[in-house]
Amino acid sequence: MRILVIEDETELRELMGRALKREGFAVDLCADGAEGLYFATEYPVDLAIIDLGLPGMSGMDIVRKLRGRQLRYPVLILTARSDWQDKVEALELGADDYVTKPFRLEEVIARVHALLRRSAGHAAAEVDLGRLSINLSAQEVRLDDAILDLTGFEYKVLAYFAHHVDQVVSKMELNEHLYDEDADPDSNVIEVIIGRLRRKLDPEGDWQPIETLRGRGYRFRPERD
Amino acid sequence: MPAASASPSLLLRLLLSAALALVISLALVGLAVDRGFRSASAGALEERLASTVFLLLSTLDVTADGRPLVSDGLAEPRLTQPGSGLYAGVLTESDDWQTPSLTGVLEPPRPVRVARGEERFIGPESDGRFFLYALGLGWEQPDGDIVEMTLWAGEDPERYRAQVQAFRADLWRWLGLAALLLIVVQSLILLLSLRPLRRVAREIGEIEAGQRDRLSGAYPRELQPLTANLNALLMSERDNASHYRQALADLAHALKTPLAVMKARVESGDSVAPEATADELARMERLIRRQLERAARSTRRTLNQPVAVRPVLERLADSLERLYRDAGVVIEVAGDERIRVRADERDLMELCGNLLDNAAKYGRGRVLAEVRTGPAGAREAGVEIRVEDNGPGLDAAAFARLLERGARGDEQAEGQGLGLAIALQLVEAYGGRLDCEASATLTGAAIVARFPPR
Repeated sequence: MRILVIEDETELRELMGRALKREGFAVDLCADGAEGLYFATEYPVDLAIIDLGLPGMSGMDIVRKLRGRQLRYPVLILTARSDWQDKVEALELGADDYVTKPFRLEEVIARVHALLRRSAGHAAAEVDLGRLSINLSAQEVRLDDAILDLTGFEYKVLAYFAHHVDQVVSKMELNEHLYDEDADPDSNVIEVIIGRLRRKLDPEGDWQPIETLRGRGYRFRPERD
Repeated sequence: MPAASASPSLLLRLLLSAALALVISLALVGLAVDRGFRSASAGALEERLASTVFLLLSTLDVTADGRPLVSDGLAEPRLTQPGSGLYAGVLTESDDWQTPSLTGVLEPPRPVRVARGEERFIGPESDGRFFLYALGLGWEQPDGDIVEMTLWAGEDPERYRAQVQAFRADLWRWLGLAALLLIVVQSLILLLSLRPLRRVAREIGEIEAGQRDRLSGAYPRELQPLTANLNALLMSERDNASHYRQALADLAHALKTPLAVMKARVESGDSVAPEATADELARMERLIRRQLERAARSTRRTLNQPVAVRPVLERLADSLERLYRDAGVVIEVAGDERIRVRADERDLMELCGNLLDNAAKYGRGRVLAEVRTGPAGAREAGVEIRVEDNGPGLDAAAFARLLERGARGDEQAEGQGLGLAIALQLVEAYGGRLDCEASATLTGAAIVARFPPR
């Protein structure tokens, strides 16, 4: 999943970037409001963390503009003010949640997980997909109740699929949402990872949860009728 | 404060404008009376001259050759007294007759002939030397001949002018006197009416000089809203200043301990664990936040516009339902949309936000927020904001404990107690109170913020 962080305080921005990357997210960092709006509207963002007091353009304006362009991904607001007036204004503009500064990074990460889960339609951290269950907070995957050992990147791909169940996901989309802006992945890498994931999820070959759609990409269908 | 360019005093403005209006209206009255008097005098003059002509006519005879013959003993003595100023005469085609009063008059009146059946009056409007009344008639002789004649009477205008002048002098003297008297009375009334304003100014001066701390005494009803609000403003200013001073002192004092700990650690030269520094930093951060919030909230609020409560509750309900979407919290808002509270909207939102947030967090998914006017029967009822939940409820002792721990900033009270303590501070800043009751509809707790009538 790809997270955009718009925060002008350099140290805080870098810290959040590192923490989110450790959680397996692809992260774009922005220090300025106008640049942030460009990223927020032009990049395939899954969630944005926006500071309210930004140079160039206020966080509120960015939220208003991206909601005005029908971009519906979750937005987490960072604010130094804890008044309900400010919170309500941000939420009314289209933000989904807020964190008051100063905050603990763990709290931001927890909110990010909760918002992503909610945007995929999962109410709880535990996502039940038939034989497969994924705990999005603990990043733990169980197949037939046994813990499945996945590499970091395999988990990222599977988690992205879990957020897009029954949807067609192109290789390009996976690239965009799983890699940072400056990374230059070999397109074969995705194919290799999908192959490994298939073998781990379906060693017998009788389930086939990941379909290949020729020329279009993949479709994750863990629970077929 | 820079002195604004002084504008004329209220007293001067009122005095000048009242005096001007008075003088103008009295002058108009004087002019109207003068005009009325002159026109009445002219009417009386014409009547007097006409009756003189008819008096003359009553004693008139005409000789056979057509000459007028006036018998002696005219009833008006001025007609027989030479140079009396009242004159009369008869003009015929053959002869003229004049009253003895014209004897010796150097410039006698020059009457004009008037056709039979006509009359003419030359009054004060003309600039003739005499006022004249003339009547034209035909005298029928026994032989059937008609003698054409004009009877006239004239008066020297001197008498009339003297009369008018005497009247005018009297009129303007009395009117002037009345104006003077009215202006004096008016000034006294104004001085008396403006005295309370001068007292306000003087007392404010004394407050500035530190000789008194509030406006005192009974002011007229019209000024009471002003003086009451001024007193409230003074009180809140003084309260706020002392609150801020207290808050700064508290903050400085509270920060010194963690600072001292950190300083001692650094100076000891021992290696300091990052966690220990982080703990102290977190402590300082909490202190700063709490003291700032307390300083801002405990200030007394005066002179606010009324704010409708229900829209604030609705906005908060929408936002909180979004925030607690995963828990499926449902917030119902009730109450009359027209109910308003005299409070800062930000404060009202903070108060209601804390109450609703607590109810959403510690209830079991259902919240009812209602605004209503206070107990019926009061002439001006206060406003109640009730937030009820379906949680386990809260008894009075537990409520008091939560408030106490929240006000102290107790770690364990970070949640519910802190929110309640903030709500209490806010509602108290407006002279209201916060009560805990049992919810009749949702069976949980009902926290009620009560604003006093204003």
